[in-house]
Amino acid sequence: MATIQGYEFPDELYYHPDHSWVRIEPDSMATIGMGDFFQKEAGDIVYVDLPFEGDQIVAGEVCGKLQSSKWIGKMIAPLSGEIVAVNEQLESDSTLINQSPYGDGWIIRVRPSDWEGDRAKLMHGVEAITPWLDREIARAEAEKKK
Amino acid sequence: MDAAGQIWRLLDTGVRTAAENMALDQALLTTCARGQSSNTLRFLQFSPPTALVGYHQDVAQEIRLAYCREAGIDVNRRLTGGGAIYFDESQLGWELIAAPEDCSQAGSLCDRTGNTPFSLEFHRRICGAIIEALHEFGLDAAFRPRNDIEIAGRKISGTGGVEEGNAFLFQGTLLLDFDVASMIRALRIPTEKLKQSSLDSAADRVTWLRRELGRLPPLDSIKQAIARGFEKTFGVRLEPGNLTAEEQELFQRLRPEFQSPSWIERTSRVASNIAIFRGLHRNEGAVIRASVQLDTARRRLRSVLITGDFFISPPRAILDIEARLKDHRLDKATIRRSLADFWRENSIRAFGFGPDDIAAAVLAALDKREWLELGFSAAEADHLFTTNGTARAILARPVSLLLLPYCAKQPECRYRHEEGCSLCGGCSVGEAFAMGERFGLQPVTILSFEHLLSALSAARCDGVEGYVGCCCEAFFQKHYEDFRASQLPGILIAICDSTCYDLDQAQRAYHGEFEQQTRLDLPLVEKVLAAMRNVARASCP
Repeated sequence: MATIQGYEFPDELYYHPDHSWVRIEPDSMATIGMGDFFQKEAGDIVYVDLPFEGDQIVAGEVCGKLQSSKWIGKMIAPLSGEIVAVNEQLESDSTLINQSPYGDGWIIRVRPSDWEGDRAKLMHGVEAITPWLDREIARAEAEKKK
Repeated sequence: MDAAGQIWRLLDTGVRTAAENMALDQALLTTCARGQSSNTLRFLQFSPPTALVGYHQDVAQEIRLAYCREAGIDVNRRLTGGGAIYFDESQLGWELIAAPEDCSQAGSLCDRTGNTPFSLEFHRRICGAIIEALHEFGLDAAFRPRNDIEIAGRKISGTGGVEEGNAFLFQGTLLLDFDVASMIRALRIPTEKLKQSSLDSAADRVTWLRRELGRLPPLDSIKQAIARGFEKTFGVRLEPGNLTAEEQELFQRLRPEFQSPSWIERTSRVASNIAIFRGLHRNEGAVIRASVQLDTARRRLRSVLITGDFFISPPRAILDIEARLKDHRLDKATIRRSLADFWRENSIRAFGFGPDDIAAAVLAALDKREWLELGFSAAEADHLFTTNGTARAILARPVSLLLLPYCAKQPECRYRHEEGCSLCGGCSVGEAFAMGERFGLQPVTILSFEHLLSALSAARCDGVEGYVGCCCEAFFQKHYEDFRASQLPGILIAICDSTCYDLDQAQRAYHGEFEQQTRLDLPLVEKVLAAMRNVARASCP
C-alpha cells in the first residue's frame, strides 16, 4: 500500500485523473471505485446512482452519480466495457465509499472491452501518481486560501 | 483558467410553476453542458407555493401530501440533492449554470482535467457571491459548511448542485419573507411536540430578509445586489438576456416530464425509510431534547433539532451543532466524536453540561430504532421510553412489575387513591390489571410521586429486575433523573389524552389530587408485553 502525501493509493491499482481506480481481478474483470483523495475532499457520500448490470460504460464518460451533502457529482469511467456487477451494499450505506474506498466501497465490476488501450491512459505506480496528486492538492489548497 | 473578463447572461425567468422551473433547470443545464449556452445567473420564483424534495428523496416520506393538496401547495422534485424545502411566492431562487473551470481561481480544483467540484471550497466561493449581496444590505452573513448561508447562525439560504456533462447547476434559495407555520405543516421535519414550541424553534433556525432588516427592500434591488455579488466574485459582467431558441424548444419538450408522477413520485432503488425519533437526556444543569430525522434504510442521520432548557454560549452553537450533524453517519462513536470536536473547536461555554450530554439525547433518539426491529412502528416508538437500559435489553430481562397511574382510574372509583382494582371494566386500568396478570406481571397503581419512588425502591430490594409502566411523557421528562437513580430498567408507555401537565394541574397530581381521568394506551401496552414474551422465548434454547 503506498501512502502519497498522506493519501492511500494501493500500489497494484490503476488510477484515472478523475479520481476513480481500477483493480484487475484474477478472473480478468475490472473492479472500479473512487480513491482516497476524492472521498476526503467530497466528504460523506450520501447517495449513489449506479448503472445496471449489462449496461455499457465508455472510458472518460459518466458512469454513475455520487451525492455528498447536497451536491450530485459525476463518476467518470476509467475504462470501457460491460457492467457485470454493481455494489448493492452502497444503496443502504454509501459511506462505505468513504470508510473503505478500496475495499467494501467498490462501486462497479466491469468486463473490459479494451483494457490494453484504456490502461495506457491510466496512472500506475508512485512515480506516475505523485505529480498528479501534488497538482490536485495544490489546487485544493489554493481554493482554501481565498 | 478562470472567468475574469467574461460576459455572463443574467436570466430572470420570473414567477412560474414548479414543473416549469424544474424543466427550465434541466433545459439550461443540458444546453450549457452541450456548449450551446453561455454561463448564466438565473433568478426564479414559484407560484403556487411549492414543497420541493431533493433529487433522491421520496415525496411521500418527506412531505405531508394531504395537507399540501388541501392548501393548494404544489409538490415537485429538484435536480439537485439535499432536503425538502418550502418555496412560497415570497422567496427568491438564484442559480448559476456554468462550466466549472470558469468558476474557479486559476489553477484550482475545478480544472478541466480534474473535474470534481465536489469540494467545499467550490460551494463556498459561489455562496460568497450571495454573501457579498447581503453585506450590501448591512447584513453579517457567512458561509456555514457544507451548504448554508447564515446570519447569526440562522439559515437564510440553502444550496445544492448537480453536474451534467461539462456543466453544473448550483442553486440556492434566499428567504425574503418567510411563512414558518406553513413550512412545518408541509414538511415532515423534526419539530417540538407542541405547536407553539414548534413554531418558535423552527423560527429560531431560519431567518429572512424582512426580519433581519425590519423591512423588505424592493425585489429588484435584491436581484441587482446579487448580480453585483456575482460580478465581483467571479470578475465577470452580467448582461440581461432571454432564453435561446434551443433552450425554449428543449424546455417545452421537457415540461410534461416534470409535471408527471414518474418524476415527482420517483423513489430510489432502495427506498428510504424516514422516521423521526425523539430522545431526552437531562442532568442537574440541563434538559436536552433531541428530535432526530433519520433514514433507517440508508443508516443516515438526516437532521436533528435540539431544544430544551439549558444555557450555552454562544447561543448560535446549538444551530451550528445541528448543521454539523446534518446528513451525519449513523454511528454512535462518530456522533460523539463530532460533538466533542465541535465543542473544542468553538470554545463553547455551557452551564452544567457538555458534548456528551447532547450526544446522550441524540443517542436516546437513535436507540428507539430498536423498537422498529422489534416490530413496532415509528409512531408507536414515539410513545415508548426506556430508563436504565434500551428496549431489547430490558425486554430480555425477567420483567415482573406493571406500574399504572392512578389518574387513569375513574375519579369516582373507590380505588382511585388505593393500589387495588375491582376489575369492573369501567376504565382502562382494570383491563391493564388483567393484561398484567395474563403476562405474569404484578400490577401496581402508583398513587403519587413519592409512592413511585418508594415502589421502585421496594422493587429493587425485592429483586425485581425490570418493570413496565404507564405514565405521561411530561412525567417521564420531569422525573428522568429519579427514574435513572432508581437503577431499575424500565419501559414506559405514554398515556393518551390531556394529562395533568397539559391541564396545568401537575402540582395536584404530584400529591395524588388530580381529578381528571386519563386513558392508557392498551393496544400498545399489550404489544410491549407480547414483545417481552417473544424476546424471552427467542432467547430460550
